[in-house]
Amino acid sequence: MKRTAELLFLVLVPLGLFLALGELALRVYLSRHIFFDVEMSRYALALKLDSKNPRIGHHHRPNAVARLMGVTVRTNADGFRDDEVAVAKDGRRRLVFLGDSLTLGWGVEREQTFEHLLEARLNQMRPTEVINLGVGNYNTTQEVNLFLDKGAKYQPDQVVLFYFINDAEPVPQKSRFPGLGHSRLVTFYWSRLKALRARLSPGTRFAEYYAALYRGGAEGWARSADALLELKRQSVARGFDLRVVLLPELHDLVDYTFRKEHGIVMDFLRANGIPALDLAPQFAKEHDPHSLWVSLDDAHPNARAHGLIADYSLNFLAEAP
Amino acid sequence: MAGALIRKYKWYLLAIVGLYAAISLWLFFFTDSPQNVPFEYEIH
Repeated sequence: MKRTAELLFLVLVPLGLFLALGELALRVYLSRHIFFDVEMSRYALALKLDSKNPRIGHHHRPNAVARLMGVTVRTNADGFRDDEVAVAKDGRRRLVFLGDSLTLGWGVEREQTFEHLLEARLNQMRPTEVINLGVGNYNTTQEVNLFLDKGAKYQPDQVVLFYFINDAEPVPQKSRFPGLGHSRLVTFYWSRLKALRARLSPGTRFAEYYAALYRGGAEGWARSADALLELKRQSVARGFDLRVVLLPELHDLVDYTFRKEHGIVMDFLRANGIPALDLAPQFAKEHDPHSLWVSLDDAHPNARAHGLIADYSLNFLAEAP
Repeated sequence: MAGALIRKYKWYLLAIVGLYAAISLWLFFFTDSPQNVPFEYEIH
């Protein structure tokens, strides 16, 4: 009995000490630095709520505020990262932007997001308001269903879906990993072991993973295509202009990694009469992709990249009737 | 009893905690590189 207690002591005490000291040290380090996965786990805890609609999975907590990636994210009564919007239109042309964390403006101040920049520039042409329905970790199915649940009531004149290569992923499931999000140390280990696996084993890096979502009639892209067709049907029934902008993945822009997959999406949109703009070729002169990232371990577009997205998509959105 | 065990095994305890810390630091520096995994969707 005494021997067992001594063995337990020798296992549990150093582990407990390490967990306590490691957590403390990491929190001190993270007060000055940013880890993408830690921030994503904080985002989940601070702003995400389960949705009753399984096709949406999660949505934003209404009227919430959080400091993530060093910037403030504030949601309105609908849970959008936007100002409060009256349902009744006030004579301005109304646009709704659908998308994921890139459209949300992950890691950039709201004033620097392409949504905000485009609203300002479109306003110089004619009175316009843009409602941002971007939510982190969304796929196309979620984006379209969020629009049906919360966006359609605003009766937009135009809906723009900002498509990203990982929009063909399945609806994300809630992680049951113990401690994830609550403990910085657990999240760090979970994240870095994943990165280690990607470094050591082929087929686990982002490029292979994303490409597989489109290969040979993959279910991921099939679901996205269905959601796009549903949005097209809605545009006809409700009388709004529908457009799709393909956002570039920011690892290799000169020899674009997902040229083939963007081709699949563009061909589909053209075949179904949905006006679409692929921004990847516009970024082909960017020889230093890291200069467009929000951080070293996070290839989301930073403020400069958001500015370029706004520059390159302005005419496409403005040409709508 | 705990105090006696800590005194008896203090160098062992320090060595184990040091080993955990060394593994963590190695993992930190070895994987501190540009993002090479998909945007993670499991955190939700």
